[in-house]
Amino acid sequence: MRSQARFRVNAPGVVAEAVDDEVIIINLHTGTYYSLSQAGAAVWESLEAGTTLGDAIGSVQGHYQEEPAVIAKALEDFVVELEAERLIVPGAEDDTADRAGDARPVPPLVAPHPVADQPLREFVAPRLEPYIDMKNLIQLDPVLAVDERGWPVTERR
Amino acid sequence: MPVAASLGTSARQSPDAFFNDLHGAYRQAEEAGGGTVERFFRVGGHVLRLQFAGGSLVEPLSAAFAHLACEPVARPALSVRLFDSASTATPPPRAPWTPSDVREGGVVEAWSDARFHTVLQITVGLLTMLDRQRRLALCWVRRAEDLPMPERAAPLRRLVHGWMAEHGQLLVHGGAVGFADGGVLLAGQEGAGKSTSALACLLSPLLYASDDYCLLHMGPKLSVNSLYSTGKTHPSDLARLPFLAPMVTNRTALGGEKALYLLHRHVPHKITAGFPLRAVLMPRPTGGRETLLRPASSGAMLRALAPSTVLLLPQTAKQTLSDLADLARRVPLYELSLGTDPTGIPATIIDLLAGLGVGASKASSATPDVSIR
Repeated sequence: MRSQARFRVNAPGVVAEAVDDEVIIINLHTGTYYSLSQAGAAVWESLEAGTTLGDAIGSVQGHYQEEPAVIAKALEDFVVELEAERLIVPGAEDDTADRAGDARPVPPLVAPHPVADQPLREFVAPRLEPYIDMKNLIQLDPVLAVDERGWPVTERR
Repeated sequence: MPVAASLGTSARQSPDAFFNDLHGAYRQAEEAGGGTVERFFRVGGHVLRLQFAGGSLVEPLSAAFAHLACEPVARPALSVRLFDSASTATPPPRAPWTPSDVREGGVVEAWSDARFHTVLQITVGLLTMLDRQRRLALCWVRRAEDLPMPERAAPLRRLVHGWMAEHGQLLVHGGAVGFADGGVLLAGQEGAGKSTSALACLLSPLLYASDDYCLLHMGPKLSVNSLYSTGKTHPSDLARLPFLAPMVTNRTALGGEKALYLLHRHVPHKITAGFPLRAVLMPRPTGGRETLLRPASSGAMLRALAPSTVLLLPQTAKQTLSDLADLARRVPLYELSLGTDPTGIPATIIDLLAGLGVGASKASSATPDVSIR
């Protein structure tokens, strides 16, 4: 586990906003957008705030009815998805020392701490589900040919 | 003759120098086109002057603003000088950029900064360049006849977006209907039913501000300002809204594009310049007969409104998304489950507004209010 790893939002090509318990993420390069809720939203907000991955996972574990190791594995996988979609990138303070090849089991750096007076919720492993209905808005017009003054030629010409 | 070559391989020209060259081409087009046609509009409270070299672009690029026409003023907030090459035989200056300079939304990156905002819509054959310092913009079109229906329905929207942002107004992808003392924004992606909902309200006491794009003023009091008095539907929607049939402007093109309505020409008394914003509704087709409202989450509103609004001008995406999240926190949000009976749509909106203390006197009128010219 990359417990000391930090990440940042892959700005300026990616923007995100949290409202209520949901985070909306938009990739401006692809037009794809994403909605995160519950544990996924919580991890995103922690990482965006500069928290290490281990602490982000630890802060989530105390809210859910599930074995900490199960939660940690699910959230690590989720963070890998976020990276694969280029929504987050390693932050400046990323501790690369425990990155590649380090397959130690999880133990969270912050011990799970149940939140007083709040019932534990059922844990659902977060998944990154892309909405792709905006892609046609963002696709760059292809430049197939240009005229003698360097201007793109439109199809109807 | 078209050539398969890269754009503008010559030495890079500054935005200021290119703007001056483009302005020189406009002046040539003015002479070639036989003079200038001027139109003045009050957009979001600010006067916009459109100056056309010749007449070919006047109808396609100004008809949608007709409901905002105002008296000429000596110092408009923005003047836009427009010309096309086909009718004036005036080419634009050599393009100084390469394809890689044209980014998402058509923004020409190296020719856009705090002062200039340059957008090239390649397939449309349209360039706009805004010089905020001079309060002057230029628009070049290759050929007026090539302007597609969406551009005639919502002309110059990327330019307006860049301009109105200076005045605290955000171009949003949404419809809007209401009364003088308050109304609703209709948010949803393509096909959600924004246009159908907004146009169905023409058969009611509600006033029409937009079916697709409008300006959102994010001041202490939220308000919507109308931008275009056009409407669009799929041709098949005419079966549900048959009163629109006489208003179709592009009848011969309906096989390949949506029906376009220039509403100001037919129902000018139904068009409003804007109103205070009281709620945001997210239309959703259901197949049931009844139109119903149910509370919606802030996330649902952001998903409906933010992606297509943010992608209009990706360079301001972070601020735009933040503004829309702020909007979600400030007004009631509802899903508008659309029934098959179009009269139920305005009735539901009027009931909602009445509950918010808006439009009580107007809403008492049960008479369908559409007399078509």
